[in-house]
This record gives sequence, structure tokens and C-alpha cells, in this order.
Amino acid sequence: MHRATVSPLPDVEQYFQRASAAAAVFSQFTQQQTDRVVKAVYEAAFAHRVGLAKLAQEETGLGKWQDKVIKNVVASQFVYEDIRDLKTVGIISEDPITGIVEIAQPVGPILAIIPVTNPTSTAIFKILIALKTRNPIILSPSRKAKRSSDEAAQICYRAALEADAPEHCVQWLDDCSRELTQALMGHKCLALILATGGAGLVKSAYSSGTPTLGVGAGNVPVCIERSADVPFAVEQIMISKLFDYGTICASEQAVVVEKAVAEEVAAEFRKHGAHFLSDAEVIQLERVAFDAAEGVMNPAVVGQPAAKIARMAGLDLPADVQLLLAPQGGVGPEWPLSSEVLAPILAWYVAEDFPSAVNLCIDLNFHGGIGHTVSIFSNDDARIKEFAALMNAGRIMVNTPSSQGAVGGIYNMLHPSLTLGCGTGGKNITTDNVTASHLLNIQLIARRRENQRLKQFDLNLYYDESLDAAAITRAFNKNF
Amino acid sequence: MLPSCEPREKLVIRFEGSLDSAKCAEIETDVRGAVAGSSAPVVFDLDGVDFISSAFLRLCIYGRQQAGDHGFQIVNVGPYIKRVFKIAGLDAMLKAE
Repeated sequence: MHRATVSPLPDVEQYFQRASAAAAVFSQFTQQQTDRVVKAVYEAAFAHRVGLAKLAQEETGLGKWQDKVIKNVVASQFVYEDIRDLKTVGIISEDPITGIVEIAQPVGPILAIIPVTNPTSTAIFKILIALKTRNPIILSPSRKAKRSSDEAAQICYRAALEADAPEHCVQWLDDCSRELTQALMGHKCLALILATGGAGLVKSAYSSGTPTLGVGAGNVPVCIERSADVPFAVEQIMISKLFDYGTICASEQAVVVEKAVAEEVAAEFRKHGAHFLSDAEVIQLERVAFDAAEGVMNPAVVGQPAAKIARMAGLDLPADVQLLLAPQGGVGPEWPLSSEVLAPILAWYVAEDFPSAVNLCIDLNFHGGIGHTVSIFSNDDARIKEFAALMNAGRIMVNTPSSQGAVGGIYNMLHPSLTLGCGTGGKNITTDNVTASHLLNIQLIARRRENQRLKQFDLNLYYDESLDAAAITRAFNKNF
Repeated sequence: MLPSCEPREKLVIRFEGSLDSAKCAEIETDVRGAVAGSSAPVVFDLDGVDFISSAFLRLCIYGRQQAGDHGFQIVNVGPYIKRVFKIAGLDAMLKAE
């Protein structure tokens, strides 16, 4: 029986000696052996979903443990079901017509940055997709969530070993210092960084020289277009915004509603316990929710309930207030609450018509949320597509909660993921929900399949400058 | 199959089949004992080996550390196993052939 022990490993080289050995042993695994490991890890993580959620909430003071359970469920059950049948070993496709054969190879040792907002779910998710692709993984937990991330890693690693996974296929850093993490990032033996975290850390990862799958910041506008089912839309936004008290980066940050339905929307929000702030109250809230000097949200409000934030701001509001809506006159630094604040706070905008609403959403999208997520409630397919095409976002949520919707698998058929790519706008390499398929090097065997048109073509014609593209094409395609 | 030892000029330990964790647990004590007790160069012969585990890599590292100046070699390594040593970064140190 294997025993997972935590050994202090301050030496960077030791981490990579162990990871390289694990990668070597893993490279021999069949699909069946690999999938046995993945199943065991999923089952163990799932079994501990509640304990890990409670530990994460207790350690970080962020969010709600019940919602962290759901995050752990997504990270384990939903991710597992999504990747379970994926072919990740050896020949994964063979086409006799084209003569192309695809072979899946692991990328190598992966460094996984784990954010404070999702310390156990992100750990579980990254371990599962790494092991599915036979990649050893080293977790770098947040200082503020080390215990819970480490516990998740230990549970997964023990289960992996019981299923005969290579030793040290999962490691976690004892030292959470930025220095150690950066030393690992730039190491020659590191194959890939999964960088889920703040902008500074993601930038460090990209600057290290190691291939990186990173994320970007979100500033999600939700557009309520006049054809929307208003009670349904507001209900869904509440489900999203209150989930883990707004800690998911894909949660709505601003509501932009067409004037034709604005009063109805406002009434629905009030029914759900939302409070519309007066101008004076907006200023009071800005002072606690936003760090003007740094130009970012105040960490003290992240993942906190609306009632607590109201007290922090000195607002005299009912104790059961659920959500704070802050009417804004514009978008930008002079309107702090038009920026991302991962808490039950929403900026509120009323637009004259749909084009005006889209203009506001563009402003919000480009104000710190490029490439991430946008949301629309509408029953007009043409407007939904128009809205999507005008946004710079990898994910366009339609008629769903944005938080749970963006992570995939619950409200739509997106790949379940805790790492949401934001494309080049967010300085990432993909807009995808990152999953196991991103952790493979695919080799192509290319068998001889001659280009028949080229074979019958007189190459000397290419040297005749008088022949233009049309003439060449006619000759090239003759009899085909 | 337990490794066989031929203490002539070199200590040659022959391995075969799948050297998984369970197999290595069976043979580890004997192998370590033979290596530690040898003053001759040590050779691990991997002809016929089709899988090596983390435990076997540790045995190889142990063999190299113990043999020191006497020398340590791994021989008869097929491409599948050579690749494992290459990925582990141990091919140069272990002089896998």
C-alpha cells in the first residue's frame, strides 16, 4: 500500500527530478491504466467534496461552503464525465483516406497555479486533466488557501497511488513564495504552466518562457434585451451573482437593460431582495468596494455577502439585503463600480434601445474584461448573434446564469473547466474552456497520398510569367 | 523471475518482464544487498524488460550512487525503455545503451 507523505522540498531541482521520473513512468501507461488512475482520483475527490468545501470556506473566509461543494462537484464529477472517454494515449485516430494517423503524447510536467477563490475545485480539476493526459503536475497554492489546496492534492494523490499511478505524479509546493513559483516557472524541465490567477501572476507565467495556458480578468455585462423573459432573467442573474458570493470571474458585473423593460426588471430585482443605491450610497460603497489607489476591487469585499458589505460601507439597509445595485452614469475609472468587483454588487445601466445597450456592453467588455465572458437575456436569435459578434469575449452566455454557465456542463454544453481562456485580448493563447485536450502534443504520421492534380500538371507552366492564377487554375484542375 | 548474479569481473544483475512496484518490492532487498556488497562494477541487464516503475528508477539511482568509482551500467535497453530513461533525465547518468 502506498502512503502519500508530505516532505519539505525547498530545492527546485528535486521537484523536477521527481516530476521527470513520474513523466517517464507515466509515458508507458496504456489508456486503460491511465483511465483507472483518473477514475480513482475523481471518486476520491468527489467523496471529499463537502469536507474540502468547508475547509476552503473556513480557511479563506470567502464565499459559501455550499456553493463551494457545487464547484467541487463540477471539478470532479462533471469534469470526469467530460474527459472520461477522451482518447489520450497512443493512436487516437487513423484515417485510411488521408493517410493521417494521430498519436497523443503527454506535454510533460505541468505547474498549476491555484487561486484563492477556488482553492479545492481548481486543484481537483487540474489534477484530473493532467493525469488523464499522463502529465505529472506540481501545484502552487495560494498562500491564503494553502491548507485546503494541499488537502485536495493529498486526497487526489493518495487515490492515484492506490491505482498504481507513478510516484510524484502529483506534487504541491510547501513554500508558497513568489520566488519559488517563479523559479519553477522558468525551469527547463517544466513543460507547461496552467496559470489561473491574477494578472500579475499570469503575466509572470507568460514571461517565464514556458508555454502557458492563462486566464484574463472578467468584467461581465449582462444585457437584458426587450424580448427577454424578465422574471426569468432576473432570477437567473440572482442565482449567478449570489453563487459563492460572486467569486467566480465569470459572474455578472453590470446589468444593461433596455429602457422598455427597465422598470419591470428593477421591480423584479427588488422582489429578490436587491437594493438600488442612491447617489450618496454609491459613493459610500465605492470607498469600501474599490481601491482607488490600485485601481482594483478591494479584497476585503470579495466573496462577502451583500449585508456585510453594506455594513462595511456604513449603509443603513435591511439585514436581509441580497444584492447591491449601483446606478452608474458611465464606464471607466471615474465610475469605479463599472469595474470588476467579485461580490454581490452590480452596476446598473438603462439604455435607450438595443444599439445603445450594446454600446454600453462594449464599453464594459473593453473596460477590463476583454476576451472573458458576456451575457444576454433575449428571445431574439438575430439580436443574440449580433450581440455576440460585437463583443470581444470567449463565452457568450444566453439566458443562463453567467457564473455557473461559463464554467460549463451545468447550463450548457461547454467543456467544464475552472480555467477560462480569454484569447489574445486577454493575452491568452486560447478562448477555450481549458480541458484535457489542451494538455497533449498530437503527432501526425503522414503516409504518402500524392496530390493527383499536381502529379498530372506540367510544372513548366509555373515558369511562364504570362500565365495568371486563373490560367494556372484551369490547367491545374483539368479533368478533375 | 528474480535477477541472477554473475560475480566475475562485473556484478551483472539480469531483469526481465514488467518491473512494476510490486515486482520491485519483491526483489529490492536482494538487489540492494548485492549492489552494496559488490566491489566490482555493477551492470543492470534489462533484456526482456517491458515496463519500469518509479521504484525501479530508484533502484537504478541507488545502484549508480553505490557503484561510484567502480562504475555502473545499464545494458540491453530496448527503445521503449530507453525512452523512459530519456524522459526521466537519467540516460546520461545511468549510461543506458
